[in-house]
Amino acid sequence: MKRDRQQGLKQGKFSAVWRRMKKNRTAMAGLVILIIIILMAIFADLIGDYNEVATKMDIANRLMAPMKKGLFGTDHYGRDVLARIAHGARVSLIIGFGAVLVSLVFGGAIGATAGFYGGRYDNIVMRCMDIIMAIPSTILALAVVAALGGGIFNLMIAIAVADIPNYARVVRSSVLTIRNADYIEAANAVGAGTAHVLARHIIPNVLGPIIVQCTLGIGSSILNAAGLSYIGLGVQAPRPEWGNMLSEAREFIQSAPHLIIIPGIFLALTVLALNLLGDGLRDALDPRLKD
Amino acid sequence: MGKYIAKRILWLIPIVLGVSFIIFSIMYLKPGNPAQLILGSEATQEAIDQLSEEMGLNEPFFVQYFNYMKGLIRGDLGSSYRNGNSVSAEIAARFPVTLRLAAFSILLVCIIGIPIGIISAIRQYSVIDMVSVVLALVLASMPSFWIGLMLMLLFSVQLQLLPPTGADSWINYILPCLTLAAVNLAVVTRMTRSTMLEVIRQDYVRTARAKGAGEGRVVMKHCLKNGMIPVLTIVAIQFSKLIGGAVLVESVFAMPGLGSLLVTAIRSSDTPLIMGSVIVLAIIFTVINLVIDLLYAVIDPRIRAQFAK
Repeated sequence: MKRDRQQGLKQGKFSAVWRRMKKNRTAMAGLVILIIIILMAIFADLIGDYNEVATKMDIANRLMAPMKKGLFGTDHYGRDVLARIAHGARVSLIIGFGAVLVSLVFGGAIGATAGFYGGRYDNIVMRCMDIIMAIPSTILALAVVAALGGGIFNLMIAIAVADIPNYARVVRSSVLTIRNADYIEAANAVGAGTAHVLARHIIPNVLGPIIVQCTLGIGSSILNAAGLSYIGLGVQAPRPEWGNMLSEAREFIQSAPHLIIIPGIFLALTVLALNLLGDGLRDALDPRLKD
Repeated sequence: MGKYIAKRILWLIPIVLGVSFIIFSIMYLKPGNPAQLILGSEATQEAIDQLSEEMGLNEPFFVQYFNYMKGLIRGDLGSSYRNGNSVSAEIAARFPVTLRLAAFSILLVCIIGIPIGIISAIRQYSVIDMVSVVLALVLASMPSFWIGLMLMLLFSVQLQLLPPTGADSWINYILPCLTLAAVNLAVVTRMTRSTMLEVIRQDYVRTARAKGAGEGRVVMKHCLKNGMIPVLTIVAIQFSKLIGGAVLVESVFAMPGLGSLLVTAIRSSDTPLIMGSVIVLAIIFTVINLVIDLLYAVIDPRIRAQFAK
């Protein structure tokens, strides 16, 4: 019985959020753009095979303008830009989601336990987070990449490490506001264990701000990854990634400006979509703005 | 108040210790023997072993860290693996470029961003407000280095008005400063708009209007003075972020600042140079944040009052 009621409540909450989201036109536009880019990443091999099109050199057709050869033209090795954009979307999205997942898991665990137990543990852990935050995040990510080397996985870790304190703070402050709520006291009073209270009551109730932080975090992780790849420390050629495509194109800024314009537009569109969606979710999840 | 300031300044010590410890540990994990790196691939094993011994690379981790910190306190950050130059001297030579870049950018951000934010708030839902909200959203979604490349494409390649790279004269600073300003403009404009919107609805503003104060006087005297505190904080925060964000923009425009020094150091795995630049950047970042907090206490009478007792 109890389980049914809870399930019902949860569904009610999600559908209410969805109803409010649907009314927000800019958030829906963000969602549509994001879905298109995700589909492009999933079906990248249909747009252009990785080995046969996206990384295959064809010097005879190099630096072709858009529409002359393929939708977006070709780069300095004659590779099809559309196929490279699609495969680049795959890399960017994997890094964006992956980095957020890693920092959410670690930051979330740190923040939740700090907020839940409080006291000296909270104090020590959060001071450590302050120290990590004292290093500008770009610089910390650079240092980690310098130690680990480039590549998708290392890039993901580097970006995640620099973001952990942000998640720890958000989760901690949400937990703190909820910890003293009456229903937590009630759960404790009926003899629920710590793990049960955390998993059943605290985590579902702090989800709102965390979802918003994650949505915006994916965007900023994608930007960070592109930046590191741009300076040659992230995803390495020949694997296409939007940041390293831009860095390879810099030499050809005069002869083939489309190589600079197109990857940047996709980067900006993806991040804009995530920002619109994040802002929309924040409004939809905030009960004070309830219609 | 004095106690608060002393406490905040003392807090710098664990921060610097912690930051240098983190960076030192990360760099310690880095594979490869520095002695091998200095001597090149031709070196004999004996020579490598001897140099490792001289450099103290065989010492335990904590001894190495302690030695590094002893140097740091005296301002000695070691010497570059690549050319043997003093790391502190290299950083000192590059720092002015980054500082100039960050300072001019933040000035641009204030000159453009704050007035736009104020106008948006006063004329909420007007055309200017709509345009600035959309523009802020779009600018915040664009990668800084791409904005730089686009500006370069427009002003250096198409119009041929400004030089694309270098740092020889003030003309070289225009594009990088515009780039950094564009990235940070959005945050400041949004912050100014939202605090002004909040202030405009306060009772004392209504009182001022009821007394018959002119609109200009209400905005300038009653709203601005109270609304500027959070804006100043965000500007200062952006300033410290700018110093970190300059890394990418410096590489786009090939400016010889701290950021490009760090990137070259990483490319050539020059550990002392990497560590030195990162620690110096982190210390600058922390000091700026400290100054912001102290300024906050000085400017806002409500915070001052908390410590008056």
